[in-house]
Amino acid sequence: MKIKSLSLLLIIMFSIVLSACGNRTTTDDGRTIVEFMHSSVEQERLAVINKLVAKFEKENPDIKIKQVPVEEGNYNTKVVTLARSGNLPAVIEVGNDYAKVMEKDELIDRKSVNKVLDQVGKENFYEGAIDLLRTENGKSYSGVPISGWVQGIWYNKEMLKAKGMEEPKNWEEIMGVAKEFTDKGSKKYGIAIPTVEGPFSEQGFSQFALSNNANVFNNNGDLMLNTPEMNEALTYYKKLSQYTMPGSNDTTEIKDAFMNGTVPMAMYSTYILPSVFEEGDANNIGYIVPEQEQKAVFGMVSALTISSGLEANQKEASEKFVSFMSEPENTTDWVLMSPGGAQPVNKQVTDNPDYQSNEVVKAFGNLSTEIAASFNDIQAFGLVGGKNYLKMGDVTSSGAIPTLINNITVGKSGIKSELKKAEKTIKDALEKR
Amino acid sequence: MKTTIKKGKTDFKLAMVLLFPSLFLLLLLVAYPMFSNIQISFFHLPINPRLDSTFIGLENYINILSDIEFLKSLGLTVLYTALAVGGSTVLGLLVAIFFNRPFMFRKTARSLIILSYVTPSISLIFAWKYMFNNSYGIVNFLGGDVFHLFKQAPLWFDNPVSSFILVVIFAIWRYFPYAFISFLAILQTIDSSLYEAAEIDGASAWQKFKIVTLPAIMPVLITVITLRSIWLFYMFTDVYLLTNKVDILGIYLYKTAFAFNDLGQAASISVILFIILFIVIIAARKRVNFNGNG
Repeated sequence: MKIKSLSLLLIIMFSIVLSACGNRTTTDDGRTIVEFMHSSVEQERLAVINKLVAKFEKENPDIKIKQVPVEEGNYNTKVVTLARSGNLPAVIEVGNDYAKVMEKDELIDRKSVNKVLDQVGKENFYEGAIDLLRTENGKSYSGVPISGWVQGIWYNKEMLKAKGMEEPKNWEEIMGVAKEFTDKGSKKYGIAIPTVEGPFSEQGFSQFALSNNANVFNNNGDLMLNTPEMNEALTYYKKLSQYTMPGSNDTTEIKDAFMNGTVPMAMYSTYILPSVFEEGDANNIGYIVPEQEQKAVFGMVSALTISSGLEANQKEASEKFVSFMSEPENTTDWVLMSPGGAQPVNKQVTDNPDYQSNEVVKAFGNLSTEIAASFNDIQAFGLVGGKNYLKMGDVTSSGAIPTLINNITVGKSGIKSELKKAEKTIKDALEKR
Repeated sequence: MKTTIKKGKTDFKLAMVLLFPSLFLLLLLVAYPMFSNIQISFFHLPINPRLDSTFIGLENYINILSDIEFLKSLGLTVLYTALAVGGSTVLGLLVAIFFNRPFMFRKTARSLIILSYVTPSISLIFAWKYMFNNSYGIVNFLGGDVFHLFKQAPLWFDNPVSSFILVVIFAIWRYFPYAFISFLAILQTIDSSLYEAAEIDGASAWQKFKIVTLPAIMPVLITVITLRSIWLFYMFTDVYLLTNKVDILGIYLYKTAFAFNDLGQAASISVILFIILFIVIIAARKRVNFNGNG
C-alpha cells in the first residue's frame, strides 16, 4: 500500500515536471510570446539585438520577444533537439543549407514566410541570394534573407604587383600566379585552397565545378557526379593543390597563410575582411571569382524563418517580428554587427546611408560594391534551374565530396577511383532517405 | 516480537520519505531518458514530432550491426580505450611513485603535473594542432629544419595511423594526472614499515612493488581503470577536434544522430554501446576482486 502510494506520488510529480517543460504562448499580462533563436551570443551583438527587440516591443506592446541565443557550434544540434521535443522557437535564424533540413521535416511555415516576403518585396533582394532559399518546387521560399556572405579568391595586390602580375581572371591565370609564387623550400605557396575533409572543401571546390557547368544533379534531379565537366574540375583542383600548403587546409590554416604573407591568394569568405581591416590593409586586397565557362560565386544566406505548428496569435506575432526585422534600417543594424564579414542581401541595405558610412565598409571602397554585386552570381550544388533539391542536404551530410577532395589532394589518390567511391556513398545516402 | 515489527514499519516509512527526493530525481534524470532512448531505438523518428513515427522493430539494430563502418569504429574504439587507459594509468602510477617521497618544491611540482588535466580541452587541442601544423608547427620545425630528422615534413593529422597514435598520446598526457592524484593519495596511506620489512627480507624493488604496493593500491587501480574506460569509450570532443581521420564510436554516433538526423539509429547505437560496456565492466570486476587477489 505504502509502495503504491509512493509510486503514485512519484508518477504525479513526474508528469507535472514534464508538462511544465512545454512552451508558454502568453505572458502573465496577456502578451503573446515569440521566442527568437539566433546565433549572436557575443555581448556587442546581443546589445544590438536587444535594442532592435526593445524597438519592436515598443511598437507592438502586445508582443513579448524572448531571445534564445545559441552558440554557432551547437546551433543545428539545438534545432534538432528543440524540434523533437516540440519546443522549437517561433522565429529562427537559419542558414540556407540548414533551412533545407528543416524544410524536409516540415518544420517551416512556408505560408507565413511567403506572406512576409510579399510584404517586404522579393525584388529588393539580390537574385542569387534569395534563390538559395527557394524550395524544391521553385515556387516558395524557406526564409526571409537578412544577411549573407560570399566566398571567392582574395589576393594581395602589392605581392602581385611586385612580380609584375595582373589580377588573374580565369582558371589558367589563377594557376599561373599560383605556380609563380610557389617556392616549397622557403615554405612559400601560390594559393591557399581548402583540402580538409570537411564542408569548407565542398564549398571551395563547388566554385570551380560550377564555373565549369558541373553540378551534382541535373534538371530532373538525377545524380550527375561522374561527368566529364566534374572530372575536368577535379583535375584542375588537384593540380592547383600542388601550389597550396601541404596537408588538410581548413579555415584557420588558410586565413593564417594569407594574413602572414605565406600566400598571395586565398579562397575564403568575406569574414576575412574584418581581419584585413584591423591590419590596416584594406586598400591592398582584391577579390576575384574563378571563371571558366561561367562565373560561380559560393555564398551562404542567413534568413529568418517561422516555424510550423504555431498557434494563430503566435504566428501573427512572428510574421510581424520578421517583417519588422526585414525593414532596411533594422536589417542594416543587423548586418553591421559584423561589418565586412556579414554582407547585405537586400539592395535597400546596400544603399542605406548608415551602411555606406560605416568605417569598415568605407575602408574597402569599391570592393564593398563589387562583393554586394557578386550575390547575383551565386550558384550552389543542388540548385538547378530554379529548383533547390532538398536531397543535396543528404549529399552534404554524407561527407562524400569533402572526402573525395581530401583524398585526391592530400592523399594523392586517383580521380576516377575516388569519384566512383564518392558516387557510391552518395547513392547509398540517397537510398536511405 | 510485536515491538520489532512495529519498529521496522516506522523505519520503512522514514526511509521512503528520506529516499523520495533522490528517487524522484533518479526517475526524472536517469530512468526517463534511458527508457525513452530505448523506445526511440525501435522507431524511425522524424525531427518534427507532429509527423508520424514509424515502428520498425529491430531494423535500426540490424542496420548498425551489419554496417562495416560501425564494426571498424568499434574495433578502433576498443584499441583507443585500451591503449589510452593503460598508458594513462601506468604513467600516473609511475609519476605517483616518484612523487611519493620528500624533495624540494614538491607541492609546486605536483600542481604542475595536473595542469594538463585542469586546462580546458579546447585550449589544449588548439595548442596540439598548432604544434603539429604541417606548415608552421614546432614539431616539423624542430624535426625538419633544426635536427634534420626527416626530409619531408610528415602530415601528422592527415595520416590515419599517425593521427591515431597522436590522439592516444594526447589522451594519455591529458588524463594521466587523474590516475596520479588517485594513486598518490593511496600510496601515502601505506605504512613504511611494510617496505622496511620487505627490505630486511631481501626483496628487490619489483618484489616490493608486487607484494606491498600493488595489493594496497588495487581498489583504487580498479576504480581508476573502470571510470577511465567508461569515459574514454564514449570519447568525442578530443578526437573530433583534433582530427577527422579517427572515427571512434562517439564520432560515428554524432554523425549518425546529427549529420543524418537519424535519431532512431543513434539511439540504437547508444543502447548497443551501453550493453558492450556493461558486459566489459561486469566481467572486469568479477575477474579482479578488490582485495587484489585476482
